[in-house]
Formats: sequence, structure tokens, C-alpha cells
Amino acid sequence: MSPLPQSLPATDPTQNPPLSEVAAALAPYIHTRAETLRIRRLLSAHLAASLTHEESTDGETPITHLTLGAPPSTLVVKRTPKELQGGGDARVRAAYLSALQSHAVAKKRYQALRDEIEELRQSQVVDSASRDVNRGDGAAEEYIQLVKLRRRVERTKVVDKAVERVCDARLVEGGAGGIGKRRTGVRETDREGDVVMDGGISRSAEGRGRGGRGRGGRGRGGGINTERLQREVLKHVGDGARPPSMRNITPDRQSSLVELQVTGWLNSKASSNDDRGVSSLITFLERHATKRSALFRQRGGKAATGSRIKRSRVEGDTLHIFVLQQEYESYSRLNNFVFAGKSITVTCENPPRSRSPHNSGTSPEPANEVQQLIQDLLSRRFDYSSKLLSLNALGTDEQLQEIGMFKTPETQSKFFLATMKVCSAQFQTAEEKRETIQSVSLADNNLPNLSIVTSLAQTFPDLKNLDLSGNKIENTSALGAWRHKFRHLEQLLLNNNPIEKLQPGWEVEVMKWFPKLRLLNGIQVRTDAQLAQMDQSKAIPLVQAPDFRDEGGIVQNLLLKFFTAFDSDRPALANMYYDNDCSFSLNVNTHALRDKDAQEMLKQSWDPYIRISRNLKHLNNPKVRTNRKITGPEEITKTWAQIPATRHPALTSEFHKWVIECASQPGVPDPTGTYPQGVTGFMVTVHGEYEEPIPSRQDRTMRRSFDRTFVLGPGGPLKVRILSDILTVRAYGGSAAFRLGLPVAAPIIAPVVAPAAMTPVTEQDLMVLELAKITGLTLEVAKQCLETSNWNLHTAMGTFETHKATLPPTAFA
Amino acid sequence: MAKYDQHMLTTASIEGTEPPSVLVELHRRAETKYISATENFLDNYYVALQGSRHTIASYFCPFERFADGKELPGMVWNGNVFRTPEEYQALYEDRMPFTHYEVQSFDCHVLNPTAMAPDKLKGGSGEQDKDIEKRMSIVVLVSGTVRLDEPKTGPLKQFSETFVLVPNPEKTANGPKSVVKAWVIQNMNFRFVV
Repeated sequence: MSPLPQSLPATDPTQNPPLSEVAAALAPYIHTRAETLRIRRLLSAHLAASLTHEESTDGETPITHLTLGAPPSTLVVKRTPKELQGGGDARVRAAYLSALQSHAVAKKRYQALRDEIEELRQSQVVDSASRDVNRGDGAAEEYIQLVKLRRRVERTKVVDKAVERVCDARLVEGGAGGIGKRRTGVRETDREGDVVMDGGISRSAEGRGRGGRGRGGRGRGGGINTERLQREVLKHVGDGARPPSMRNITPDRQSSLVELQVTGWLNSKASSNDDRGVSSLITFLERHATKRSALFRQRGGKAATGSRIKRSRVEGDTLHIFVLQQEYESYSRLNNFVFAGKSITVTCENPPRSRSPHNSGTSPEPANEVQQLIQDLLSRRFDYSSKLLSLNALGTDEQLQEIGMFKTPETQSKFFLATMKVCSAQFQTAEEKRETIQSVSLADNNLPNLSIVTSLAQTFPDLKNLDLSGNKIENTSALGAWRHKFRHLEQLLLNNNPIEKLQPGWEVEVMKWFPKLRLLNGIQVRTDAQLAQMDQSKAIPLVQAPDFRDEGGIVQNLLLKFFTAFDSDRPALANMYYDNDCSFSLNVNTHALRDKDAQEMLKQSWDPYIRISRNLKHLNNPKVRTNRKITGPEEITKTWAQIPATRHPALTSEFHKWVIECASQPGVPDPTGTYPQGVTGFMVTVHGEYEEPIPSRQDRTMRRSFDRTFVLGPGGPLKVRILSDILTVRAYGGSAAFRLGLPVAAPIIAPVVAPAAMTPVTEQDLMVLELAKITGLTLEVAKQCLETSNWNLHTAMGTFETHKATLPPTAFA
Repeated sequence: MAKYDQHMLTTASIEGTEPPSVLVELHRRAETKYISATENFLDNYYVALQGSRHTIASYFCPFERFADGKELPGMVWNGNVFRTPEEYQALYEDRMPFTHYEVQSFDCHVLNPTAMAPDKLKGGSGEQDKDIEKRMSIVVLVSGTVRLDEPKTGPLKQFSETFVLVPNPEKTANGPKSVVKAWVIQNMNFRFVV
């Protein structure tokens, strides 16, 4: 608009001919100030002719070109003059007028809405005020809601902080041997932290409402949410990516830290420690800084709290420590102190300048660049169709290099962690993530081990394909961090790593680590059949027939007598098998699972048992613990008298209700005392059930289940005694779990066969199985044998013994 | 522990009209020790079955075959016989899904107070009637539940398990609290019962 300066070379065509030409060409459009004003006035007058104020009260604001530039809402278009419907600049004026018209309309609507909102707000204040008076509890409820919400906010904040600390700690650990001991235990919380952090922010609002930057079109994982990203990046990368000088000196917790470098401690006396003396150096620095802090001196040498190093990491021979800005002075005074025989140097590259907050908003925000970078990186390197996230050769990525992301291992691992965070923030569920990203390539990243990229395993635990080729991995221990991870990994590439030459047999090791691995370096290492077989052998073993290793029928004879006698004549039984060395105790497991199909759903009363129960899980009184173990036949008889009457099912005909196993047991007390270390006896375990009368209803009985362990040894009137008898009584649990061949992990299916139809067949079948197992006969021969013995297992055993020698070899399985 | 010892002294003074003999007192000490030994053992053992399966074999006495063909330790799991602790560990390492055990009740007795020969006890006194609490064997019956496959939602089974625990010959009597277990399983029988 300003006139062309006359001093310009335009007057001298020999010096700058092109400019003079330009000036000449522009001349008709360039006016002096006075001329411009005149044109404006004319234009205004012209437009004003077609405009008017809505309420033309007194025309307090004359329509000038200023009014036209920022029109008030009262300005309305009277009419659009006919002559403006032609071409040329007339059309511009017509456009202006129509724009003005819609502007006025919009402004009016805006005003109306504002008024309405204001009105609503007013009425609400009144409303809630009246509610305060009239319905006190309603207000209280609202208040409680508010308090609850506040608490949730607090909790979220705490979690957020914890997550931040976790990340810090991980980065310190992941760096070159930083100090991890101050943050023990945080690693485990990481995954939880993720979840909570994601949950704390309304993802549906933020994570989904993206695409504002035109980054859609990459499917579900394609878009990047800027706000979230910025937050993530600031949290995880910003601190490390930002040069220390740019650190804002504000009361903010993280940014008020000052970094100092400590050198010269490397070969101190403490360097033989595990951590090269770093932890003792830190303690040393903290102790001396505390003594030199202003607060300490103010209090006359009594420090309320010690001066703490907030973060630290080791890079080569330099220990980087981060301290609060106000403590910077006391730490910088520790320069030239002697630590464990070595003089240490404390320097600060960027000492804090002043306390006044400055340069906060104005400096370029490097985190934004990083944010941009991760955005670009992810959208460039994720291929939706192949579900591959390619993070290979990150070090050569020009944009990443520019920002100095790969200068130190610390920034590398921070960057990777941030990338992982951003990745997982894109998915709402683990399924979505698993479906979207199935392959990751980390090829050509010069990785010597997994410390930088270890978080990949947490972010993508279900990865199917992983490319680690072209790195510097030398042995399997460098891969150790992922040993128990990636349980579904099917393909792994480790080509062009030193491991191929340096560790022969590494393939076998790696194969063992990943149970589903099919392809290793492109070579098939497991066939589908092998994998299927592995799956099968993974299954839990089936329930097998009882392992009953009796000798000379000792245990069998005892058991056949025992439970009948227990039901009918307990005193006689006690005197038969127990002497003064023998102990009995009973415990009730009131929490045991029940047989869902059984009738005994009525409340089980444990009264008579509880008085003698010795459940050491819950019984803590030492005296009671001692007293409830009963020793000797007399005491045992007394205690047994307190146990309700029982009726055990017959061992011979109802043995499907029993599981009885026995094994030889060395070291059982010798009654003669000849062998103090004991002789060989048996350990017998019995699982079964019995019926017991219901006290209130004499005609009815209830069933209970029990587990009972006997240790048998020589001695007593029958040459065999029960040295130890422990009985667990529990609610009726049925005998379904005893059935053979039942895949134990499968849920128990209620038998569809009617119980009446089931009994004879199943019982005989089981007897056949049992006999076949004991004798080694084929099922057919065993069945014949039982048939001739009138379906009595013991007679059948006898029959077998007498005919054993004459049986053909084909009779044996 | 101190609590129990104190208690035992008071009960002894009340019950005994004359001071108990040395042997009785030693047996009494074993009496107080065997329950806590069992408690500790069960705590560690079931956690190992769940979370540190590579240590399972170390809970058993080493495999041994005797002249009569018998073998130790005895390990029967739902009727499946395992010969060596390593086999049983492999069951858990290779085939078992997630397990979470909860002991609902247990009870135990001293089986043989002098199960271990006095000279076998490292650092022991070597006398037949001493160090009972380190030489006894214990029989334990456990009743509880085990959750399979999935935490919280997997199928729940009731189990019953019997152990005979013996002193670990590798353990020294007065040595520092080492990683060596004081008690190992000599005989074990496990069954799902519901």
C-alpha cells in the first residue's frame, strides 16, 4: 500500500532494469495514502447505501469503512442493488454483501444462545440452592459423588506418577548400568500401570476421535491421537530428548531437576563392588550434600530430611545425577572431594541460571518434534495388509538422526519405550492389538542385546513373527530377556548375527525357548504334526487305576477288616491294630468342594467332629494342637466313641466308591528297638465315603467323604499295627473324580445314565479292569475269570493264582 | 517358636509331678518342631508347584534304588507313578497348566523320632537320643483345592495329598540358613477327590 520509495534503483534503469519494469507494471495498482483513503471512502459510501442498522433509532454508529471491516450484529443488508449483479468488481461487492448478511444472522444466533446459556446457569444456581434447603440428602449425595470423583482423580494421579517412575526406573536400568536399587519392585507394576493409565483417560473420546490430521486410512491402528501422543511423549521422551539447557526452571517436579556430572570415581577402593561402587558413591554424595545444604546449617546441623539424588545413571566413567534445583549448590560444592581414595570431580554443564521462571512457552518444543517423529514413523512403517510393524534400521532413519535420538543408549531405549507406549495406546483390547500387529521387524539395528527393545515383549506378547536379523547378538544369553516371552512366536529371524558363528547349537536352545516356533532363519524346525503332538503331550495325565503295591496281602487283609470293624466295633479295632506307639487324629475340612449332583446339599453339621478336629491350618493353640493328637488304644477308643456311627460301603462290591493306594514305607519304628532308624512298612492312602445317621431324623442318613492315611508297621497282636492314622472328614464329594481315564482338567459332566442302569455294568467293568491290572491278564480272560468266580474279585484272584501256571501266554496282555 | 517353647515348659511343670527325663524332653521338643516344619514345608512346596517349577525336584529326596528293587522317593500322582524327582518336575514343567493350590486343612504326626541315624546328621552330636527335632520323620495329610488352567476362572478340583517327610541329609545341623531344604519328601501320594 505504501508508495514505492523513490530512492529505489527504479530511477536508474542501468543498475537494475528488471525492478524498474516490475515497478512500471505495478504502477496502476499502487496509490498514495491520500488516494487510498479516498477510494475507501467511496467504497464505503457505496456499500453503506445498501446497508442499514436494524433498529435505526438514531443511527448512533455511522456506517464507515471501519464498521464494514468489523460489522456489528445490528448491521443488516437492506437490499442487493440490481447493478451489482453484473461482472467484474461488482461481483466482489455482491459477495461481500451476502457474506455480511449471513454474518449478521450467525451473530444473532450466537447472542441468543449465549443468553440462553446464561439463563440456564442462573436457574441452575437457584435450583441447586433450593435443593440444598429442601432436599438435603440429595445434595449430600451429589457431594459424595463429587468426593468420590475427586478421590478417583487423586488415585489416577498417583498411578500416573507411579507409571512415570516405572518408566524412569526402567530407563535407568536399561541404560548403561544405572542404579536400579532405589526403585526395586517397580518393574513388576509396569503392566498394571499401563492398564490403569489407559483406563484413566476416556479412550473412546480421545483415542477414537482422531484423524484430525488426515492420518486415517491406515485401518484401526493408523491414526495417531495428537493430544495423547504429546502427553506420552512428554512423559517418556521429552525429558531425555530435550537438551538440559532447555529444561524449564519452574516448580514442576521433573523440570526442576538439575543434572550434574561426577567423574574420577572409577578406580576407587569401592570399585570392586558389584556396581563398581556407584551405590556407595551416591550415598557418599547424598551424605555430604546434606551437610552442606542451607537448610542443614539453618537448623544448626540437624537435617530434617537428607538431600536426595532423584535420578542417576552411568555412562562410561561419568555418573550423571539429577538433584533438585535448590540442592544444586550443595552438590556442586562436592567438587574435588575424596571418595574411597579418589578425588572426584563434580561439574554441571548447564548450571541453573536463576529462579525466575522464564523461557517456558517461547522456546521451540522439541517434544513436538519427537511426537511428529513417532507419528510419522508409525504411519510410514506399519503395513496394515501384512500386519507388519517394521522398526528396522532405526539408526539410519534420517529424521530420527536429526533429533539425536540415537546418540546414547538411554535416549534410544527411551525412544523405543515411547514408541511402544504410543503403539499400545492405539488399541482398546489385547485382541485388537494381537490381530492388528502380528509381525515386528527389528532388523539392522546394531542391537548387542535386548536391553533397548525389551519392552516389545510386554507390548506385543502374542507376536507371531519377529525379525532380529542384522544385529550384533552374540549368544543366546543376549536374548535371555525374551526367554519366557512370546509364547506364540512362530517365526524368528536371526540371520546375520554373530551368534551364528559364535555359539554352535544356538538353534536348539532358541527352539526350546519358543514352544510354537516353526521357522527359524527361514528353516522349518517343527512340523505341524510335531506341534500338534506337543500340544497333545501338554495335556495333564489321565487319572489312572490305584497304585496298590501290597506285599503278601498284608494291607489288603487289614483294610478288609478295618472299615467293617470301624463301623461295628471300634474298641476291638483299636486294641487290634493300635498300641502305645500309635497315634490317631481327625481333622475336618469344612471348605471342601461338594458333589453338585448329590442330595446332601442340606447343611452339614460338623458339631461332633469339631470338638476333636485337629486342622493345623486353623488350629493355633499349641496345647490344643498337642492334645488333639491321640496316642494309645485307650485314648483312641475314647475319641472314636465321640465320632458318630458310620457305615462304609463294602470294599468288595462297591469299590468304585473307593480309591486305595499303598506303597512301601521305609523308616517305620521297629517295635523291638533293634533298628532305631526303622524297618520297612507301608504308607496307605484311602479316599472314600460313609453314611452317618442324621441326629434329628433317626430314619435317615447323610453321606460324608473322607481321606485317610495309615502308616503300617510291624508290631501289635496281629503282627501289624497302624503307627499313624490321620483322617480328614469333608462334605460328600462323590466318586466321580475316582473314575479312570478321566481327563482331569475337563469339567465334570454330570452322568446322563440313570444310576440304577449304571451300577451293575460299570461295576463289573471296573472289576475286570482292576483284575486285569493286578494280574496282567487280557480284559477278556479277566472277565472270564471273574465270571467263573461269581464276580467276586478276591475269589477271582484265588482262581487266577491256582491257574496261573496253566494259562497260555496269549491270556496275558 | 519362642512362644511354643515357653508353653511347653509351663505345661510340663503343671503336668509332670517330677521333672521329665532328658529323653522325654527331647521328644517334647520334637513335638513342637514338627508342626512348624510341616507348615513351612507346605507353604514353600505348593508355591513351588505354582510358580517355581524348576525347583520341584529339590523338594524330594534323591532317587535311590535298593537291593530289593524298591525305589525312593515314592511319587504317585492320580495313579501315575513317577520314578525320579526329575520326572515329576518335568510333569509340572512340560505338561501341567496353570495351578493354584490352596491348603484347606492339614494334619501331621511324627512317624519315627529317630528316622535318621545320629552320625548321618551333619554337625550333629552323634548321640542316639539327641537332635531329635532334626532326625525325625513326619507323616502329613493335606486336603485342599487346586485351580487349574486359569487364575480365578479355571476349573477347581479338590485334592488330597499325603507326604512322608524326612530330614535332608545334605542339611547341616547348625549351619547357616542355607538354600538347602531341611525336609524332603520320601513318599508322596496325590489324588483328585472331587
